[in-house]
Amino acid sequence: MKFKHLFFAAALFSIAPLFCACNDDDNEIEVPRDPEEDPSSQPDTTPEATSPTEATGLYVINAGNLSNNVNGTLSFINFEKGTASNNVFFDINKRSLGGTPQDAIVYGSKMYIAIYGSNIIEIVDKNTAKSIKQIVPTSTQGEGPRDIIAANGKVYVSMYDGYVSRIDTLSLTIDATLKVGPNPEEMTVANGYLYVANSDGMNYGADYANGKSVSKIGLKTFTEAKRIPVGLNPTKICSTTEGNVYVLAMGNYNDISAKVQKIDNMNIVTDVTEATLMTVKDNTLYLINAPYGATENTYFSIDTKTGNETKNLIDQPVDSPCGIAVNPFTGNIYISSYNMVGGWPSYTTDGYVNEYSANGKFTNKYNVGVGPCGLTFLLK
Amino acid sequence: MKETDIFYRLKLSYFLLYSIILLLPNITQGQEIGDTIIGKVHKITDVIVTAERTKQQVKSISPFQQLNKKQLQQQGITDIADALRRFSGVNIKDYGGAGGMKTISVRSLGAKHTAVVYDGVTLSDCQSGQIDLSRFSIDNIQQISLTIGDNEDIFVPARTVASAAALKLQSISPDFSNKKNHLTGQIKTGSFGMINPLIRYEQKFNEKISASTTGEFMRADNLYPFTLVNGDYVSKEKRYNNNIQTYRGELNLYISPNNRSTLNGKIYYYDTDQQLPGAVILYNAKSREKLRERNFFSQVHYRTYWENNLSLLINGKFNWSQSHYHDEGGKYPGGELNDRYFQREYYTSGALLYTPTSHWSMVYAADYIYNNLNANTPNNTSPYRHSILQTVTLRYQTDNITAVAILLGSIYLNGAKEGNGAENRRKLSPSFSFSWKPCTDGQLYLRASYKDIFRVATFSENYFDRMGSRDLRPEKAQQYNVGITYQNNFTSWLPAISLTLDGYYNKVKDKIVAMPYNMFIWNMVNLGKVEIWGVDANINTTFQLAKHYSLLLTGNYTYQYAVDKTDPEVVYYKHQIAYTPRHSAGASLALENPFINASLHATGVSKRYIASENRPSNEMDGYIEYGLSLYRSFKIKKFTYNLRGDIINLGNKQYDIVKSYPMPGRSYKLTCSIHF
Repeated sequence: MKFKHLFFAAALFSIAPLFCACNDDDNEIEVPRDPEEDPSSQPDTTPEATSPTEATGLYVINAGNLSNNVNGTLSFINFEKGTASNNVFFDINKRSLGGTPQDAIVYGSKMYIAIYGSNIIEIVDKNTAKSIKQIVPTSTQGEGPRDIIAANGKVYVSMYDGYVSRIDTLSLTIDATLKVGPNPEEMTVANGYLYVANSDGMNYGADYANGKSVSKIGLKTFTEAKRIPVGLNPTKICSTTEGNVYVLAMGNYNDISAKVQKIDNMNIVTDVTEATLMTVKDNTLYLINAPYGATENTYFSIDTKTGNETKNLIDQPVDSPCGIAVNPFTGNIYISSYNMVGGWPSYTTDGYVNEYSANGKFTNKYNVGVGPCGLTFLLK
Repeated sequence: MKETDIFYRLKLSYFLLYSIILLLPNITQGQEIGDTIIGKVHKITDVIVTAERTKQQVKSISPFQQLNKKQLQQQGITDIADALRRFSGVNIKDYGGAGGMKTISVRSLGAKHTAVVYDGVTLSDCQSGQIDLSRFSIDNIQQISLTIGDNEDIFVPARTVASAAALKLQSISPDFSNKKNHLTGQIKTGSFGMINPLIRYEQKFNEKISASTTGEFMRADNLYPFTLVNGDYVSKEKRYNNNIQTYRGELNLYISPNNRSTLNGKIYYYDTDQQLPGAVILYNAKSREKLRERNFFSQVHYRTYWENNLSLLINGKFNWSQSHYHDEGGKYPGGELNDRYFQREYYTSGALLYTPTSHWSMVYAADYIYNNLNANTPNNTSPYRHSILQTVTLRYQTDNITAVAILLGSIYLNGAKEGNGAENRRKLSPSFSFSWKPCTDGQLYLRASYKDIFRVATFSENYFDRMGSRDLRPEKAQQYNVGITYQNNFTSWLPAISLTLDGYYNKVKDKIVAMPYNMFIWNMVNLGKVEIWGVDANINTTFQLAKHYSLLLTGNYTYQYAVDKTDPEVVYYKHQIAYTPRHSAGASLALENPFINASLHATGVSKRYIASENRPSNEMDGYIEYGLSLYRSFKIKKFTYNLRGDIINLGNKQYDIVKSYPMPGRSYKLTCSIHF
């Protein structure tokens, strides 16, 4: 037995220096990698990523379940092969992605993953998922990465404690942080502005009073130009190629139901429809209404130019939808879902992603990880 | 039989004798009650007292296990959770360290199905429905026992039988056999900045009145190191934000108005201020949570008997508790969260025992409980509950047969000051237990029992924030047990051996669980069915090596096949439920000798799963933890000194009981006490 302990201790000390655990004093932590085998570790030569022409796959960010200590994972759906691989981050990096990853964006040669519970932004090679860098925000750069998007050579992360931090894609460091409303969620870029949904989601005791707004931030100045009043508890936001912004206010899960509102470029807000999940392709909104306590969900789309609504968007519903994405090139629809236990979504077991053709015909089902709510395309 | 008293010599006999007189209500549980023990007590010799104690576990008609102060020492037990690991059929959830919450689940039924009884009165937490055992100090405990189902000890409040199992803690009672007052001072210190002084004073005022008071303080940094394994990477970490300080005080009054009655009173106060390290989150060691808890209760206990074969038992209690959870961070409105909860309980119980013949006894018990909860949290409705519990119990007892039947009638009336109350519940719950001694001269017993019990939803489950459901049905638990027990005294070198073996089948229906809509909105629902097949085994032996040298061996083993039967369509159908090992076991070996007593012990469990699905990523390795204790007591003039050293987790094994709540590695404790 003594021998066993000695062996264990020896093994432990030999491995320990290889890994730097998170340290509050360090801004960014270099995770171990072999630069020679990893060309992606070289910085991008141009901050502006080249315009992609196709999506070859879909990354699924499985949030896991921090209250059960199920860490998040990354799945990848390969469109050519029609297969899903799970645990792709762990498999290549030999470590866990972290607690409750929420969202990711593919930009340039990299993918940026916002990991809320672990309070990090993981930057990986977009093709291999090999880690390039792990950004740990300092106390002045916000806490709790929530949503992540990219524009004009910068990556923007909403921080749940009320900030948006900007990552420079050349230096891979946070180069600016801006205070927005409380508990910001999703963001979108339109008309040279960054729009941030201020949910105030932690303040439901006071009816989300300090949220109910969208911060409109000038991309060049990175200052808040305007705070636009919207519905209760805005969490999702997207924009059309025409330049209109659509925000989804979740309501209070009680007497105020979730609704979608349009913000035009004059900052005028109008109600559009009721929905709880939303995404956009070009000028078409793809919507799912799965209100709290409802027995049946509706799937539909709206052409924002004509106002035409397509009912029964898909031919086969999922059990409990939590994410929707539409391939910007093919129009194929991807809807992620929990599996069910006794009529309730199961937060401890794997979920799945259904694939539909552009006209809503079910084509494939992919089993992915626990809580598969973040979807982002691998753009080439 | 005469030889068996050798290792129990000391002054234990007097000690126990007086314990019985002074704390009758508690000691009598499980003993020959009903037939007026007070009349007989003066005849009980030390030998009988000693034998009775071990015999109890064997004679009990349903699984019953206990550890007294001496056994706690002999088995090297360092805290309450450690004591419970030496019982079979028990699953301890331990969040690690001195301040980490520790709860007990018996036979996979869940923590909320076990009543925790302190000095004869059930402790309650109407909010969470479970008792954190880390708040009780092992140094103040005379005896710990666990009853699964109902045993022959029938003269108890109705509430005691209203749970699937009862864990009874009995505090130290004074011994005035040689002196009218005693002072005990103790100091304990250990790893991770732990220091724990205790003082106790006991005074006998006259033949009828005596009192004792205990005060205790404990603080610890709890900044213990642990090893974090993340895939191929292993790092040395520390458990930050984990300090604790605790004050505990107790005042007891013992009155014997006459030789047929006892009246005990207790006042208890507990105050703890601690940081909560939370679960270990990868890449994020920040933790700013704090918890302050305060608890005050006072209780009275009166018992008397009359010549007409009637005995009366009255209990009363007032309980107040407050908890304040604090967290900081920019995500909260105003940068911080302060949740405050206040609970009150008023409790009264009366029980009447009638013993018309030496074979038959009957009990009628009626309890009334009022609970309320106030909070400063959003959506607080200030709920309250009136509970009326009544039992009718019948016991038949001969030399060879004991049979007990209990019918419990429960009425739960719910309301809320602001808003709607949860649905009221009424229910009848039967319980039957039976034991048979096939040979008149042997010490072999066969036993069987059945109990149909339930628990109502806790206030958290009914009302908490946006997730409580007011229409939750009670969670039902059915228990079946069959067992065989044996005790014998063979020769001079093997003076005592006792064995118990029980097999059981439990069924839990309408399990109350939280189901999500999204990360903000959860809902409490009756969903879940669990079936449990299990085996519990205990062994206790003493080897007399030579005069003054004895070797004590104890062992316990538990097998639990506890599977989810909720939904055949679900991937985890028939999977072992979370945090439930198939096998768990404990063993201790103590060598008692005139120089320094030593105890080596081990407890271990097989692999567990952290969630419902039994897949490799949810798997947690099994572990074995070893401990070593050395202790010695000696007398100089009128002073008795006790010295004890403990090494906990001797092998420095890194393990978690709850995933991401690492347990401390090797640690040390040193205890010195003076008593006079």
